[in-house]
Amino acid sequence: MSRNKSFLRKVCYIAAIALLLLPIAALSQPATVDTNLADGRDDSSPGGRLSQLRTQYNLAQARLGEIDPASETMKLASLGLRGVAANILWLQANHYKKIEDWDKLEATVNQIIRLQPNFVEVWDFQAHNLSYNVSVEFDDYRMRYEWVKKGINFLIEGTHYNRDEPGLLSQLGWFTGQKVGRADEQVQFRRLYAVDHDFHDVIRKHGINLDEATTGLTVEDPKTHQRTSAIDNWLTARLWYDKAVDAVTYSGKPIRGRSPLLFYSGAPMSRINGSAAMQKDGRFFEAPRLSWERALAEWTSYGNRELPTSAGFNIRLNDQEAADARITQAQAELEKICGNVKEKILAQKRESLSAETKAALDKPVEQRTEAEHMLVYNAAGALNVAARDYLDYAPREQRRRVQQVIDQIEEDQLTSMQIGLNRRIVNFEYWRTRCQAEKTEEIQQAHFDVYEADRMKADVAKWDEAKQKYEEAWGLYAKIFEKHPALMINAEAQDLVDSVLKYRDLLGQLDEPFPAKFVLEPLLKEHDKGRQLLDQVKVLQGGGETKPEGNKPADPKPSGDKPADPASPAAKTAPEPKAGKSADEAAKAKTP
Amino acid sequence: MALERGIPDFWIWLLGNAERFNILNPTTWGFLLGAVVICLLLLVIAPFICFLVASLQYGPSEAFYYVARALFSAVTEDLPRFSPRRTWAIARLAIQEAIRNRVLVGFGVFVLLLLFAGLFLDVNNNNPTRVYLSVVLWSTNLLVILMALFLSAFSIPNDIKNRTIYTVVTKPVRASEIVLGRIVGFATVGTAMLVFMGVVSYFFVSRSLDHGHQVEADTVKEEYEKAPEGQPAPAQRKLLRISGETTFDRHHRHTFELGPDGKGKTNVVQGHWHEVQRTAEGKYIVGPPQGHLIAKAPHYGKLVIYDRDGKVTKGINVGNEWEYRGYIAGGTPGVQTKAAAVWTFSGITPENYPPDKYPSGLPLELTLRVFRSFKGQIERGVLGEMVIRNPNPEARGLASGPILFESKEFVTDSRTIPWKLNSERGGEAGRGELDLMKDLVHEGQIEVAIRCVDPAQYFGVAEPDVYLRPGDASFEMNFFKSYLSIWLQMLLVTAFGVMFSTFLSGPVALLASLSAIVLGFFGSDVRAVTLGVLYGGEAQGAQYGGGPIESFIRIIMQNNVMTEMEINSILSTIIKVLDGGLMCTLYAATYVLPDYTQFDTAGFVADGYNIFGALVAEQLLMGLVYFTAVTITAYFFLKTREVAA
Repeated sequence: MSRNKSFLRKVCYIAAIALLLLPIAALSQPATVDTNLADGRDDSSPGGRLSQLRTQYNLAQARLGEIDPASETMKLASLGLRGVAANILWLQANHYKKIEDWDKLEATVNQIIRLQPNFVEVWDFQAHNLSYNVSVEFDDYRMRYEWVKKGINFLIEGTHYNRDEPGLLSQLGWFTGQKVGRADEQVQFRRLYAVDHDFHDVIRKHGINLDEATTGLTVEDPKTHQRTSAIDNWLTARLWYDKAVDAVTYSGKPIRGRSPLLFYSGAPMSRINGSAAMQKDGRFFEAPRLSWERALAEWTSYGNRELPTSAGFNIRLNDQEAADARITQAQAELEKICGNVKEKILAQKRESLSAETKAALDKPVEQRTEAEHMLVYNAAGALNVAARDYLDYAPREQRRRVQQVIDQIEEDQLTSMQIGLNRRIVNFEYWRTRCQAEKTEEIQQAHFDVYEADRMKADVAKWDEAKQKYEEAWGLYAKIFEKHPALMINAEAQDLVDSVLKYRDLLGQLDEPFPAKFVLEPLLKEHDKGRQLLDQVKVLQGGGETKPEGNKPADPKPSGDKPADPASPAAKTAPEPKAGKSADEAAKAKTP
Repeated sequence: MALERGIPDFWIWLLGNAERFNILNPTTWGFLLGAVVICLLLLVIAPFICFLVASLQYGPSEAFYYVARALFSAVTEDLPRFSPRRTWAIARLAIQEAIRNRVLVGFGVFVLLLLFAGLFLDVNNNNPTRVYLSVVLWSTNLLVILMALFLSAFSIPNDIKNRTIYTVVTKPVRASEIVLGRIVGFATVGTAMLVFMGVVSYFFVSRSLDHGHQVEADTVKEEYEKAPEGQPAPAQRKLLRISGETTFDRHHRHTFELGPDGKGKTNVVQGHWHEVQRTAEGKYIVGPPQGHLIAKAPHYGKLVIYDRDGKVTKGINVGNEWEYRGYIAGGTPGVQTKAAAVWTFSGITPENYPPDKYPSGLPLELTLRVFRSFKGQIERGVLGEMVIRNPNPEARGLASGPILFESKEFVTDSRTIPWKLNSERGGEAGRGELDLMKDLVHEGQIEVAIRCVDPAQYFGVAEPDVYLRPGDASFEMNFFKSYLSIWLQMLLVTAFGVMFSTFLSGPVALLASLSAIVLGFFGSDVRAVTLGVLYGGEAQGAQYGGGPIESFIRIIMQNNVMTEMEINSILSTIIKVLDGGLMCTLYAATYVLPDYTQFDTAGFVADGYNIFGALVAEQLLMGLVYFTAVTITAYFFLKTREVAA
């Protein structure tokens, strides 16, 4: 009997175990992929509930990226104290950074990411740490470059663990472009990057076709001493950005930590920067022209991309002109239907203002008190004639149409405003104009002339030639700026102002005055350094003309409003004292 | 290598620095005074604790009798009749017990760790040697300490629990022999483990770092002597040098340069280099890696920093949180700035530096830091100058002309001070040349002054940043010294474990030993916390929220640490006094317990520096003193226990 009882108990246990297995299997059965069957049947199984949830939220390790045994071991070995371990390692990393122990910092950072391989921000933060913070601690630019590469390599490693992660891929574009191409050591970094074949191999292995990142320029490879095709960092950056865009398009992953406006601007901006860098490298005419043409095409295509806005609707940056045209057209239609009632509406609005405001508006600006200024300022909104104000003047039979036109105007105005806001963020119009202008022969010639003149200036025998080249270039630039005034305003034009300062120095060396009517005056007026130059010229030349018979012809303190006192801000901030001196000498030469 | 505690000096460590001595601050005491105080304290405290423990069981008068008898018999019986043979018998028992307790599992864990180390070690690191050595030394240290802790803390309590101790104490065995036998037994097991781990680690590191390269044929460039202008090149041109690159293996490649004889070496990458040789057939042979397993034995000098006005200073802080280095400002020396860092080296004698061993001059190495206040010339380092001076005040101005150099940061800049130096003023009048040994060495001393020449740029200096490198010590010996440090730690942990296990139960003894280790490793941090609580209020470094009892009450009552406790003021005062007492005890304990950070020499081995003889001597003496004191204390504790009585 007792034997039977024991047997029964065992059967019960086994039955209970079998029963328990069912919900466990339902919960945790792994997913399988099996579509390779001869009859073409798809026997894949989505797995249990947990597996399905993992798939739903993209949490399955195999779906996120590479499974690293070391990482998994470390996660397991920390026995659920992964967070604590990661915290301690972060503290340690900070300590190593403090005591300038870079090798250990790097090793610690590598341990941190093994603990948190799918925490994208860690990759981002620590890559920045290596490429930006650690690299500058080194005095030798070659070592700095090595650490910049370490940061980039770190991000590349991050893309293994986090497959198709747009944020990381976009950061790779940023680091390769901006850190290599915009750092203080950009000339050295770009030079090193161009022939860094070992690093190129690493990048190639990660699906970047660097043959698309050549500029056609050949440079001497310091290793083989043979001419080799240079790889451009900006064009490499563009390829990373493209990969990031592909990740969004094909894997549907969200863009994290960056607005779509900026995210999508990466690739075309890299093309633009690459084109601009070509000219800094001394390449003109055909190659950069072609590059700028491509840049324009990419920028236009970027402008055609649908981008979300904070207002809740999507825009295309290229659409502003069309929207503005529609507004003008609709406005005209409105006036056609309602008659020219704008003045009437304005008078009515004015009538509705308070007596004090009206009095303030009637006063000339210079006589208004502070309170009156405030009243006028506040009234500006009330005096604005909006499309909706026309509705009251619409003929009864046309009211429906007027309502439609007003709605359309308001919608277009909102669109135009949003496009304008977004355009300003990426400086859309400037870059569009720049691309259009740069692809012309004229501007290439101007760049070439300035580049040549800057070079010739170093050789005394070629000063006259340099001066002539400068002047030819100024003439060309004047025409270009007349056509595209927007090009003068951007900070990029600062380089040209620097060249004008070099020209001023050259004139000083040649004992010639700076032209009183300089063709690029509008450009100089747009920049601090340019304004200082104009002030100096005005003072010196004013002195020469107003006191031609003075007792002290060489006195650098003429009767102008702004004396060329060496302590005056203009003279103080003169870039090179030599230049000031030569300008003095020019004034001297002019006086009898 | 940064030596934050300065260059060790055994006598200063032992006797203390007379200039900084302060009786109220034990950190300024020498070890000798500290050891004497600890021993005296032990003499008073140990019998007192024994008395307390015994009086719980037998009452005060009986307890007093036990303690007095224990003290008396220690001197009259146990000491004269101590038997090494019996001690060894107990030690053998302890070894057998340890092996029965599967202590070899620790060794297995270590081997397993090394097997998979390649997976998580950063092989792409700039200095893989450092990473590998740090990992093996750190893991050995941890495993051995843990093993010593578990073995020692549980052994006697287990014996008492299983009553196996009766089989021992009924034999004519003395308490001193039981205590010492246990410690020796466990230490022997630990030593064997350490030896095994050391051997395995050594082979693991050297095998892991071993690698080879090939020469990339298309990078090889041969330079021949050029024929004089206008003359045709001869058929047999003279080879001047060969340069090229190796293949990219193990995340790096080297460049190399060979002389006309076809022999040469590569540059240093990842802390090592290779010999390269061109054979008669025109093939290239790249040798095994060299220079990564080294033990530099630097000859350090004394540093004095002068500021712009020539006054002695600590150096400028350029904004670094880490104040290890002081910075000197650049400028035209003597005109714009008098800032300089001057090292005085002693022991510069022909015996120490024979010219036949150092034919080109004194080998000097610099590891300076650079701080640029503006970009300056990016393509080159910041310019500095080095002047070798005679330290004799009467020979003022007897100095070499400036030797210009370009700074190299985060790499060791190896230079040589030639035996014959140019002098702006002339050695003997008008000679224009100085003999290093004759003209610049005074009583075996020489001064090396370093200045930064580029205006508005800075050099960062610390005492160990400039040193002479007469020759290297043996890496294997250095590795052994590091294992000796680990061995001493293991010995102390074992001794503490056995001591606690004589009067505490196993888990409690384990906890107590662990606390001793934690206090030993983080003593200075704990001291800062205890002082913070004791100072309280507005004092610098003050800790808010009180000691352990007050904190506990605050947590329970959910009181903010910044507010007064919401309890009766008398009760509050009592709590504060109790907390004060606890904090004082903890503060004293940080000084009484051994400072395990003093035994940390892994950094030396990993960085490739020889462990100072003074440091080894300090560790040995510290180990000996603590070992003796703890063993004697353990003996008294065991003696007063019932089983031993």
